[in-house]
Order: sequence, then structure tokens, then C-alpha cells
Amino acid sequence: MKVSDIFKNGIYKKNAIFIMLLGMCPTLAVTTSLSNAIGMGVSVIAILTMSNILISILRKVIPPAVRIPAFIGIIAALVTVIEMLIHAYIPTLYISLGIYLPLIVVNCIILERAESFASKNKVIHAAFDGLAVGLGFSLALIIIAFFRELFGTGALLGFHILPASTNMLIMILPPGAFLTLGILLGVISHFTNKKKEELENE
Amino acid sequence: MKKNSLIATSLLLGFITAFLAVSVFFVNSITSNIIAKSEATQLNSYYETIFPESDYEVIYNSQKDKDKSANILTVATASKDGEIIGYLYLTYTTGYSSDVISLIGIDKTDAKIVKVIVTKQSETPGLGTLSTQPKFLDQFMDKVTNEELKTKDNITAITGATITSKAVVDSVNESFNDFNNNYMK
Repeated sequence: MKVSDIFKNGIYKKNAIFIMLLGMCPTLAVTTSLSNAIGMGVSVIAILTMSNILISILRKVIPPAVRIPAFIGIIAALVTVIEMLIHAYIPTLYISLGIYLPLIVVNCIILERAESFASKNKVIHAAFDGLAVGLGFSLALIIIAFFRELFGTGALLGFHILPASTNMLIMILPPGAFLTLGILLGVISHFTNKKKEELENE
Repeated sequence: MKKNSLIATSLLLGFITAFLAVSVFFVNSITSNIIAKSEATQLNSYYETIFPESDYEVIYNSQKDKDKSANILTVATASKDGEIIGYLYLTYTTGYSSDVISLIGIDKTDAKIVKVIVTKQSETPGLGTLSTQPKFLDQFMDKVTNEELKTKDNITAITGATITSKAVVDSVNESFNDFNNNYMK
């Protein structure tokens, strides 16, 4: 397996949000501002890489029949332990990332990567996969948050860009999340479908 | 599945989960003290911004005492030269999407608010999170404790975050009540 393929798949070919439609709950909830998207993205990259490594190390120990409950237990314990360690030893980081960590326990991307990749591949590949899928997830979050923060508050990362009169409050409320995601998915499938048609016509 | 392997698998899963539980317990026992300590210093630094250069003493803690409203978490006194100058109420109310924890400093002699700080919240970014900003919180300054605060009369709510604004106002009213009943001269 080539490392470059792992990154291609993780970042755009099988992007967790735009192509696989995984992890929709945190996606819709935290993309109200760019800083939130970055915080969630960083947390997911770190946790996903660690959980992939851990699952890959333990892949021969865990009996296949009970692998799902074992994975869930390992991921939940890992996230809880990391949250407590950050809270105790890096309080400044906890203030900015603390609210995202508990959300990750229920993020199905982590379980999906554990089940479909980490449990079948070498540790080093699993680590790269965690990094790649995490990057793809972060990228998608940042794209959605970019539009929501810009049109909802007229600012990006707190810096005002658009005049206040153009603010659409709906964009930073839950309906704005669905609208933005829907339009982005439409645009993306428009281009992927076009590519497919071109390939078929040749 | 054979009976033997069924038992072996269950035992292994039991072992894995037991191991996870023990490791979470182990980390928690190390970190919980440090976390409590860092939260206490954090709270102290908030005290410091309300009543600078004073001695603080916690006189009510909802984990031990139960004789105040459930919204009041702790009450601390601030004193200078052995004399109490003010009271610090740490309260929580339910906002729009999270618990809003606010710290209210009341001056003892003239029964007025010195300052209100929202110490912890995870409300809607861009709306409810504005409740931590001076633009909203400065309105509470110098309000007298026998006045009932209302978001429509004497406090302007944040646009799009009425529920969060009301949560902070409720917190302040709750501490006013308690102050008037117990510590007012």
C-alpha cells in the first residue's frame, strides 16, 4: 500500500464529510466559526491518529467477534484519558479545545477508520490513515465554517470583513449548517458527475 | 461458535474493558487533584479582578451545604484588614445550549454590583458567546441588590441570544435574593 494513496483517499477521494457523509453531527454543530472548525479539526487529527495506532497495535489481540465493543471502549477510554491529561497539565489548551473532546467520543469517523482500516493494516499505515482522514475532515469543516462565519457574522476569525448590514443570522444557526452543507455537496457532486460522464463518453 | 471460544472471547472482552476502566481510574486519580487546584487558582484570579488585593474565604459550598438555592454553587467573602468588604457568588443557570456559570461580586457597604463575569459557557458562537463581552456585562455594574433585573426593563439583552442573556440575569437576581436575605445590614 502506497502512503500517497492513503493521503489521496483520506483528503479528497474519500473525504469523510463531502464524499462519505460521516460525522455529520459535529460537522453541523461546530462549523459556526472558523476558530471552532480549526479546534475540532486539530482535536480529531490528534485523536484519530492515536486511536488508529492503538487499534492497529491491538488488532491481533482483539477477537473478531467482539471487535466493535472493544473498539468503542478503547476509543472512549482514550478520549477520556487525553481530556483529563490536557485539563490537568495544559490548561490553556483545554480552554480552547476542551469542549470538542467529549464530542469526539461519539464521532463515527473514528470508529469507521478503526473498523475498516486500522484493524486490517500495519501500525505505520494506520497512523498515516488517521492523519490523512483527519486532515480531510478538518479541511471540510474549515470550508463549511468559512461560508457560515462570513455570511452569518460578516467576520472571519473575528476580523470584520463584510458590513454588518449583510449579516444573515440564519447562517450561524442550525438551518444555516444544513443549507451550506447541501449547497456544497451539490456543487461537489456536480463536478464529480461531470468527470464521470466525460470518462464514459471517451 | 463453539462453547469454549464463546467463553474465551467473553473473558477477553471483559479483560479489555476492565483494563480500560482501571486505566481511566488511574489517570483520573492522578489528574483530579491537579484539575481542582488549577480551577481554584483560576477562580481566585477572577476574584482578584472584582475585589483586588483582598483575602478570600469560601463560606458556602453547594457540595457540602444545601441551605441555599440550587443555582448558587459557592459564596465567598472578600475582606480587607479583617473586615468583609464584599461577597462573591458563583452561580449557574441553564442557558440556550449549556450551563452558564457566572461570578457576581456584590459590595457589602452600598449593596451594589461591583462586576459580573461569565466564567464558563458553551453557547452559540457569535450569539450567546457575546455574553462574556463587556458590552453586555458592563450593564450590571452599580445595580442595587433590591432592584429586580429584567431583560426588557433595565438590562438590554443580546440580539439573537435572549435565552443566554436571561440566564445571566436570573443568576444575578438569585444572588441578589440571597444577599438581601442573609448578608444585608
